[in-house]
Amino acid sequence: MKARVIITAEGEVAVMADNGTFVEGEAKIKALFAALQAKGIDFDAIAQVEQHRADDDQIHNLAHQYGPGH
Amino acid sequence: MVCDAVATTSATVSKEALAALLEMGVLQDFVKLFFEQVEITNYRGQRLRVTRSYPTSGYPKANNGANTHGYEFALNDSFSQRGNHYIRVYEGGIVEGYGDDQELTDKLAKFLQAAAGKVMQAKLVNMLKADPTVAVDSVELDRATGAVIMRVEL
Repeated sequence: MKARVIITAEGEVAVMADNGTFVEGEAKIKALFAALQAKGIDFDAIAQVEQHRADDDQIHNLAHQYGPGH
Repeated sequence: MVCDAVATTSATVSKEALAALLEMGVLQDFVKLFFEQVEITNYRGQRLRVTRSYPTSGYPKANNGANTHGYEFALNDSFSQRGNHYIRVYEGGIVEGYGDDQELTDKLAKFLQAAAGKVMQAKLVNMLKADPTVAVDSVELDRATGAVIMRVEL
């Protein structure tokens, strides 16, 4: 499964699975964060894995504007 | 581009984890780098430089007054007319100056936070590269935002 991991200079880590199914992507993203936590990386909170579709850009934009937890 | 992902989430590394990267071993290097890269002048327009540094400990307010190890950096001249001949930097990146030095204190604290962020980026990239379940295709730096973008196979 192809994915992008974006790490900002402020310490935010975003992971986006670019193909496959949501169920598969959710499992692999959760596993990736679990692996980082197991290696000692402490996160404030990990947002719920979401599914983004190309036909609801307005919702996406709002989600990205306000970030996780909103 | 972000919006067509089949699954996405994000998390933020805790402030404590970032602060832990600014331990004694790296503080001196980062403060030295700060005075090399950021031009700070005193009230007479003279550029400030560190003349010497030495380990110290104190009770910074930002650490709830707890005894904290750090370094004291002596400067070549005062920062303001009220005098500021040294600045202290404690573990975790806490900065406390002497005298009327809010500008210097704020700039140095911001620089140290950014340094911790860069160290964390490198640490995470190395962890993911070493993870057997992650195949890294490419690693790029977005110069506009400072973010690292990794393209991977999970």
